[in-house]
Amino acid sequence: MADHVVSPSLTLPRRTRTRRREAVQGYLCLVPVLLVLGFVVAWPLYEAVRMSLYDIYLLTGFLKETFIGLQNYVRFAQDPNAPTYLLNTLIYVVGGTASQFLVALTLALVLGRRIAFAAFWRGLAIIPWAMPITVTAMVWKWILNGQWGILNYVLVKVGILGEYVSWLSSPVWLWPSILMVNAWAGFPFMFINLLSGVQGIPRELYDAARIDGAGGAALFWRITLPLLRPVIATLLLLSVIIHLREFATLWVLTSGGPGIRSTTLSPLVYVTSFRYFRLGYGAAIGVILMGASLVFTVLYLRRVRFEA
Amino acid sequence: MMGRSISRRQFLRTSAALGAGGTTAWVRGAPSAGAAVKLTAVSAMVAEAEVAWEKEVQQKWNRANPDASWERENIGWEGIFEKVLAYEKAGSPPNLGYGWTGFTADWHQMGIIDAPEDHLGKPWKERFADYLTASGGDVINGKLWVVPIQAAAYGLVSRRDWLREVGVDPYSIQTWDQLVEAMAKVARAKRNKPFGLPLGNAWNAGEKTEWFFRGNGLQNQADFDPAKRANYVAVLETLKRLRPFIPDDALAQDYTGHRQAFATGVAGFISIGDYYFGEIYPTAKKLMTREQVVIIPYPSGSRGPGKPFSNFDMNCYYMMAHAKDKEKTAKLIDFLTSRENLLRWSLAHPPLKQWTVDEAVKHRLYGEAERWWLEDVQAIASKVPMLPSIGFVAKNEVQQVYYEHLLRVFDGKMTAAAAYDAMKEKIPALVKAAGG
Repeated sequence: MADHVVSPSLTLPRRTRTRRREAVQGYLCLVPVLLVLGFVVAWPLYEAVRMSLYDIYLLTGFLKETFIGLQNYVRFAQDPNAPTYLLNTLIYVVGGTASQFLVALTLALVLGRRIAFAAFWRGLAIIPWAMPITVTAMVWKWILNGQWGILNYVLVKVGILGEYVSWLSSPVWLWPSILMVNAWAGFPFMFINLLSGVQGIPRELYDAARIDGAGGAALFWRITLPLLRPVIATLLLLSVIIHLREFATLWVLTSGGPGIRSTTLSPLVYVTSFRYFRLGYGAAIGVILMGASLVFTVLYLRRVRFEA
Repeated sequence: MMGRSISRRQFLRTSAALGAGGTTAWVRGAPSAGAAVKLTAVSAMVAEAEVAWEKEVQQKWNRANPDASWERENIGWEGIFEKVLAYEKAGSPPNLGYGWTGFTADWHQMGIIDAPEDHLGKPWKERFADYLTASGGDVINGKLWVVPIQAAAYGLVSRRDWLREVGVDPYSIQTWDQLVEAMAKVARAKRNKPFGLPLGNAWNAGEKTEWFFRGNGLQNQADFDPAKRANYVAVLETLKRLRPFIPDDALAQDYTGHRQAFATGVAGFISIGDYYFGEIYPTAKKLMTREQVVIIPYPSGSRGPGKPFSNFDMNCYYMMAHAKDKEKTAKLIDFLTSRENLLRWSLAHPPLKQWTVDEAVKHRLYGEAERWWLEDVQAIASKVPMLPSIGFVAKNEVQQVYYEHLLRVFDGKMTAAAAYDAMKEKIPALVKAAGG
């Protein structure tokens, strides 16, 4: 009987063996990438979740860790400021995404047409994105200064304002000012993507619709918007995630102030961890932030897939 | 020309060979035990005078000590905490950290700093004898925990010309009532809100109102001694009385914005102390004249010292406890704090015993231009009590609680007494939880 036992590999056709070898080689090639991803993504993620379950307070022992289960999460839930942090985060995410999208879509529709110097205008629109965000925020902080900022100066000079406004401390103007800076700094990313989407829509569709008597609004609602839908879906998803974790603009403009009026979860993670030295609690807030991002992503993708 | 193709197997082999070669080269390139030492410092130099000083002393040190070269990393105040902590966590703390009196209690509590006097002895400590107190924020359990580089005497840097316009002698402002009255006069005459205060974030707001607490018989914002309740409430009430003279934009200002407000002439009174000159002179030379600017000692509250006062703190390096090469670090500290080097430091004044204005202007960056300022500072220091800043643990978190309540008092959402009672529930607990 033993004479009839043949190694399975020898029974496989040559093509299958080649495929298997190629697959192994392929996975081997992926190893460096997986190692890097594991090191920069999976391990920090694991560490963040692990730390969130510990009391790590540098002032009671440098890097001393005590397991406390979910207490850090309970603490956040019981923090009387938590509703303000969450509301601020919501305002920033929704307001930031909506304002960037509206500016980007408007510009994409205008600059997607055949207009004079189109390349120049498109290039100009991308400039804000090329600037480092901290530089952008610092420049805007100066422009918006309530005492010597140029915006007040110009608006008072041309008669739009009667007196100087303290844009970054006024309860009325604080969020619109932040969102305006955010829109200015972030719209080019959406604009580039939407512009390529707009340019990818076949002209024949518009021509045919016009022959059928469609006007500008109908063209937009019936052709442009539906065909941009996949691009818009991706952009909105990315934008929400970007805004959830965004730190630099808010930090440079207001440091989360006055008080906690513009503190979102992202700066709160930083302040809790590195100003209050509560690394465990900071990690828990970070995990909540990540959780919010994940929940939104899953729900949004399911919805988009369902609609598709 | 045809390109040469490469198989997957060849690619893998080549990659592996390159990787192995690189690793070998890296291992061979690692320093051996007997090699020259590298000392490191993470600092927060921002002003022209600070940056120039550190660069100069580094060059001097490195020329004289090729076997222990000093590498400095200057990252500014914003990132200093996390940078030092990250190095500490990674097991490679710098030899020297940087900060000021406000950091000392927390860093000491964490156990990440050493007392330099343990390595350099009492004679080294004696250099700073004028600034050593039993209660000061840099002396804990009788030991000096910092490497003093600068002593700062605090007061209200004020527009002398504005006060002259309304007929107020700057040195006549000795009580809080007189301060409020003077602000009202200036505000009326100049049609502005002249009192500068950086209320854009907790730590700046906390630091720049600290003097009210010292000036009313309290140690700091964390002093909730029940016997001093009225003192604390009076501080909050006085700040509320000053609110009409603080511009709304102060609520969006950090330390830099507050300084700019003075330099651009929109604020006329800021609590900043004698280091103001070195920070502002490079950008507002015309403003920094005796005719226009005066530093006046802080007026005191009714429960305070009873007369104007100044308080002081220090900017300093820290000797990091877990760094290597302690002996050479101590030598570097000794070098940095030599009389010659400290006299070259051009902000505030040297933390030395018996320094003279003549000696200082000879060594400092701005030379004779600073003479009048240093003379004024010395005059104040000799006439009014100099109270040391008293540190406390969990400072940043305490300041946040204080700041949020101060804003509620400003907004009229809370009375001063209610704010005190609310803070009393939180702040002592925070300090206690941090081991204070």
